Amino acid sequence: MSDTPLFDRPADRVVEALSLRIAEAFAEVVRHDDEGADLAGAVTHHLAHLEAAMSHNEFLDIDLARKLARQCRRLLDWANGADLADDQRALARAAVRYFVLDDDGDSDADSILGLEDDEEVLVAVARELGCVEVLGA
Amino acid sequence: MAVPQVASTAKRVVLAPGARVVIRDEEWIVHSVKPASWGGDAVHVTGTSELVRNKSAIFLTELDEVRELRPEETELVHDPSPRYRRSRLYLEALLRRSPPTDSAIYVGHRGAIREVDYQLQPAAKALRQPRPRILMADGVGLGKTIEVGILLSELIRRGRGERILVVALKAILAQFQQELWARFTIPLVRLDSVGIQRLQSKIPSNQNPFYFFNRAIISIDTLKKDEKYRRYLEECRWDAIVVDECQNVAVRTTGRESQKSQRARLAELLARTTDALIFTSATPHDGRPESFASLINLLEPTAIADPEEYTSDEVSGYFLRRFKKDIQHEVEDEFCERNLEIVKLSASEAENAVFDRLRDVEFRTIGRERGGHGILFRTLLLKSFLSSPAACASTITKRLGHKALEKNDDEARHDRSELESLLGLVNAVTVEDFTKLGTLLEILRGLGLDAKKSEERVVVFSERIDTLTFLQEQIRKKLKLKADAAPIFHGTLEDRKQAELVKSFGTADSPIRVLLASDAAAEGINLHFFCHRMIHFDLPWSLITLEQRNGRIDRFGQEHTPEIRYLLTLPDGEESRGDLRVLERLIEKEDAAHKNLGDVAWLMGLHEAEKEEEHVGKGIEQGADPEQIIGEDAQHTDLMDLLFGEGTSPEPPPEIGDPPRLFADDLAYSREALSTVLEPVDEHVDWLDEASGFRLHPPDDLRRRYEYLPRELRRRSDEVLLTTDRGRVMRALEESRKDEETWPEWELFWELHPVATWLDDRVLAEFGRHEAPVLRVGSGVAGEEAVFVFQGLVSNHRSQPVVVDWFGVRCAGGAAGRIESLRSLSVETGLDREHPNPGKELPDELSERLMALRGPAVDRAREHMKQLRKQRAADLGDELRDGLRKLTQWHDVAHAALHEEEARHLEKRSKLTNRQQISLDRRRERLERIESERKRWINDGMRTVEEPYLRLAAVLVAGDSV
Repeated sequence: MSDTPLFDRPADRVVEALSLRIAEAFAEVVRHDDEGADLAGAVTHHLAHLEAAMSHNEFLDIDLARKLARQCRRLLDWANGADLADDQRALARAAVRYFVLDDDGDSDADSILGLEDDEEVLVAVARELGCVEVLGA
Repeated sequence: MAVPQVASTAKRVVLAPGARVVIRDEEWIVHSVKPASWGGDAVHVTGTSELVRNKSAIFLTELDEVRELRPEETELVHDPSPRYRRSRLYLEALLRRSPPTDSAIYVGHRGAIREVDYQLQPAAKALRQPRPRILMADGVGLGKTIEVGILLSELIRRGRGERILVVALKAILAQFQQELWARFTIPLVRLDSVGIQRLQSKIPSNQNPFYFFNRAIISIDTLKKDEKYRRYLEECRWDAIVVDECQNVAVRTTGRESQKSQRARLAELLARTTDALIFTSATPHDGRPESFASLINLLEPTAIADPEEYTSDEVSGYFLRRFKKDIQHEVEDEFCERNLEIVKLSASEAENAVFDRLRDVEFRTIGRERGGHGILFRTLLLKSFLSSPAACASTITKRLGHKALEKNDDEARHDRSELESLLGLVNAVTVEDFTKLGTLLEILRGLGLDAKKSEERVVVFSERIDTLTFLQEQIRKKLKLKADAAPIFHGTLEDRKQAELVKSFGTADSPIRVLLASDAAAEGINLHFFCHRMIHFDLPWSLITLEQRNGRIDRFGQEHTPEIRYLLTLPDGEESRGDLRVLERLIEKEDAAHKNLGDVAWLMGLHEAEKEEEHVGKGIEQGADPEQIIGEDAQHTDLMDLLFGEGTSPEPPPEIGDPPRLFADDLAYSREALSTVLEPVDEHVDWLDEASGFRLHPPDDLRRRYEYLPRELRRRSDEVLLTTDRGRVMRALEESRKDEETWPEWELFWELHPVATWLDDRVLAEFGRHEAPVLRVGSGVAGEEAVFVFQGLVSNHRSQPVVVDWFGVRCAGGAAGRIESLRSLSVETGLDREHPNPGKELPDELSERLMALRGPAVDRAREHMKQLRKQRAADLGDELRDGLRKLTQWHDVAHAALHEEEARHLEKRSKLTNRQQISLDRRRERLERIESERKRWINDGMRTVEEPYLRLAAVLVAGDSV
C-alpha cells in the first residue's frame, strides 16, 4: 500500500470522479491488484463470453463490448510502453480488470446496461493517465 | 436455528400458456408458469387426458418431471368431423387463448358498457408502460369503476390477471363487486366482516386467507385493523391490485397523521407485492407537489427522485385526469343538466335570538377549536346551529362537560354561564320554530312521500348525526313513514349495514323513501339508480364536499334531471345575514366550476375539504366579503398547470386490437363448440336466437367450476342465461335493481366468462396429446405444397409472453419456404369458412411427405420467431436503456439528497442522534432495495429466453392431395 496521502493517489482521484454506484466497486478492484495476470488473454476471453451471452440477453450492446475490448488492449499496450509510476501502471491494470470482471455490480452479461459502468471507468482512467487517445474509435 | 438452504436442482421451465406437457404420465394444458420462491417453478395446469380431464392442478418442478411435447414430435392426425368442425374449433380456441403483447385494447371495450374512448384511455395508457401502473383520477361520477374493469379485463386476457385484490371503502364493496361481475364477468370474493367470519370458519386458523381466493375485494380499514393481515399480505404475490379512493393513502399535511401514515405504509406494502397497480381518486392531491408525488411514488417508487421538485416527464405517464367538460362531447346523453334551487328561509324569532347571541358571545377558556379546523368555538357553534338546534345543543352540552370548565375560577364560571344561557336559547327553538324542518317536510309532502304508494326517493344530506337523528324522528312521525323508509347512513355504521343500505337504495322495490346521509356517504357510492333528488339540509363549508355530495346523484348514467335543493336559513340581523352570504357563493361557485372548470378544488386552491372549511370559517369570523373568501377565477385550472405551468396534453385515441379469428363472433363459436363437446347438446342448451344467446344447463364439470365462484355470484337456479348482446346485459343489470335479492338475469357471454373458458378447455381437449389436424382446403395451397400453421411465442425470464405470432410456413419439394401471416392465410385458404371433409384417413404417402417436412418447417418457424425477437430488441433497446439511465439518475439524486440531509444535521451538531442515524440508514437501505428490485424487474421482464415456444397447430394441404 502506497504512503502517498489520500486523494494524492491517481486511483483515489479516479474513484472520486466516478458515479457513486461504480466508485465502491472500482475501489475494490484497485485494492486487489495482480501484476502477473494475463490481462490481454482475459480481455479476449471476456469478449467471447459476452458474445455468447447475447443469446440470453438480446439487449447486450455487443458493439460497445467490442469497442471496450479494443480500448483495453490499447491501454495495456500503452501502459507497457510508457514511463509510468507503479501506481499509474496499477491503475491501468485495474481499469482492464474491471472490464473483464463480469459481476462488477452490474453484470456485464446479464444486465441491459451492464457495460456502461465499464465505459465510465475506462474514460476516467484514460483521462487521469493522460492517454485519451486509447479511447479512439 | 436457521434452516439449512438446499440448493435447488430443479430446472427452470420455459412453457407458454397453452403448451402441452406430460406430468405423471398425464397430459395437461399449461395456464401459467410462475417462479417458486424455494427454487424451480410452479406450473399451473388443467388436465386434458382421460384421468385428469378438466381438473386443475399446480406442479412444482422441484418435485415432478415436466416433459414438454416438442413441435417436431407433433403427430399429424386426420379429423373426421363434418366440415373439419373440430379442427376449426381447436384453432379458434388456441387463437382465443393467445395473449396479446402490445398496448391495444382487445377485450375491455366489449364488456357490458357503453363503449366510449375516454373510458378506454386509462387502460391503453397503463398498457403502454412496461409495468401497468396508473392513477385514474377522473372527476366525480365519470365511471372510474368501469375504467378499472376495462384494464383488469385486458390484464386477464394477457394472462396477467389471475390474482387480483381490490381495496375499497367499506360502503362500496358490494357495489364494486357487482359492477365488475355484471359488466366484465370478473368475480371477486367480498371479504367484509361477514365474509371474513365465514372464511375463518372454513380454513385453518393459521392459513393465509389471501391464498384461498385468487380474486378478492376488501376494505383498507379491515386490512389495517389487524396486524396479522399485514403478515399475510407480505407473503402474497398479486398480479393486480386496485386501490379505490387512493387519496386516503397519500401523504397529506393535515388530519389524523398517525392513521394516514399507517394507511400509506399499507399501500407501500401492497405496491411491493404486485405487478399491476391501479389507483383511483377524484381528489388525488391537496395542491402540494409533495402529496401528488407521494401517490406517484407509491405507483412507481423510481418515478420521482425529489418530491419537492419534479418535471411533467417524470409523472405524466402515470396518471390521467378528465372532467365532465372534457368528455361531454362523447357522452352527451349520459349526463343530464342539473336543476338547482336555493331555498332561502327567514329565521323565526327564536332562531334569531340564537343568531344574535352567537354574534356577541365571547369565551375565555375556549379559543380556536382544533376539532373545528382552527376556527373559533363561537363559529363552530354557528355552524352547528345552521345544521340544527339539536346539533348545536349537543355541541354545547359536550363543551359543558369539558374539564376546562370544571375549575372554579372566573373564566370557567363565565364560560359556563354563557354556554348555559346559549343552551337555553337553543332549546327554546321548538319544532315549530325550526324553519328548515317545516320547509323540508313541506317539500317531502309535495313529492308525495307521505303517500302510501309513493315511489319517489330523496337523499337528504347533513354534516351532523344529531341533525340526522332528529330529522329521522320528525320525518317518521310527521309523514307517518315506517322505520325502514327513512334510515340514516353514517360513517360509523358497520360495513355490512352500509352495503345493505346502498344496495337497497339502488333497487326498485326498496322501502327507503328518504335516505338521511352524513358526508360519509359523499364519497364513491352510487345513489342515482332510482333517485334524482337531493336536499342539502345544511351546507358543508367546502366546495369539495359539496361536489362530492352532488356527485352521488349527478353522475354518468343518471337518466333524470338531477334536482338539487339547498335549504338556507337567514337571520334577520344585517350583520349576521351578511356573514352568511358566503354560503350562497359556495353554492353558485360549485355549480359554475362543475360546468366550466371541472375541478372545484382550484377555486380556493386548498385541495382539502378540511382546509376549505377552515378558510371559509375564518372568512366569516373576519367579516370578509364573499368574493374575498371564494375568488372569482381559479389561479390554476389543472394539476399540470399548477405543477409545471403547462396544460394537459390530450390523450391519443386508444388503439383497438383486431386479433385473427376463424368464427364470426362468440355466439357462432359457442354454437359449434357446444354442439361438439356436449352430446346430446339439446339436453344442456336452449338456443335463444332473439336474445343473441342461450340457456345453459351446466354439465357436472362446469358446475364444479361455479362452486369456486363467490357465494353471492352463484345462481340459485341450475341454469345460466348467457348473451352476447351487451345492451341486454345492461338492461338486465338495471332490471335487477328492482329487487334487492337478485343479480342480473343475463350474463355477458364473452371470452372472459367462466363458461367461455370452460368451453375453450373442452374444445382444446378434443385433440389428443401432441396432435395437429391436417385439413384439405379448396384454395391457397396447390399440388404437393403444405402449409404448417404455427403459434410462436417468445417469453421473458418471468415466463410471460412478450412476442406472439400466428403464421404459416409454406413447404414444398422437401424444403420449408416462406412465412405467411395467419390472417393472410385465412383469406387465401378460406380457413375461416367451412370446408367439405372427404372424411378419408390420410394416405400413407401424404403422411410420410408431411412428416418429412415437419422438421424443416419447425426450423423455419424457429428462425422466424428468433428474427422477431431480434427485431423487438432493436425496437426497444434505446428506450429501455434511457429508462435504465433515468433509474440510475433517480438513485443518484435520491442518494445525494440523503447525503445533504445528513450534512445539514451534522452542521447543527457534530454527531447524528440515534434516531437520525436509524432513519437515514433505513432510507438508504430502502433506496438500494428499490433500485435493485426495479433493475431486476426490468432485466427479467424485458430480456427474453432464447428458445421460442412453438406449437404446430395444423397443417393445410390441397383439397385434392393424395
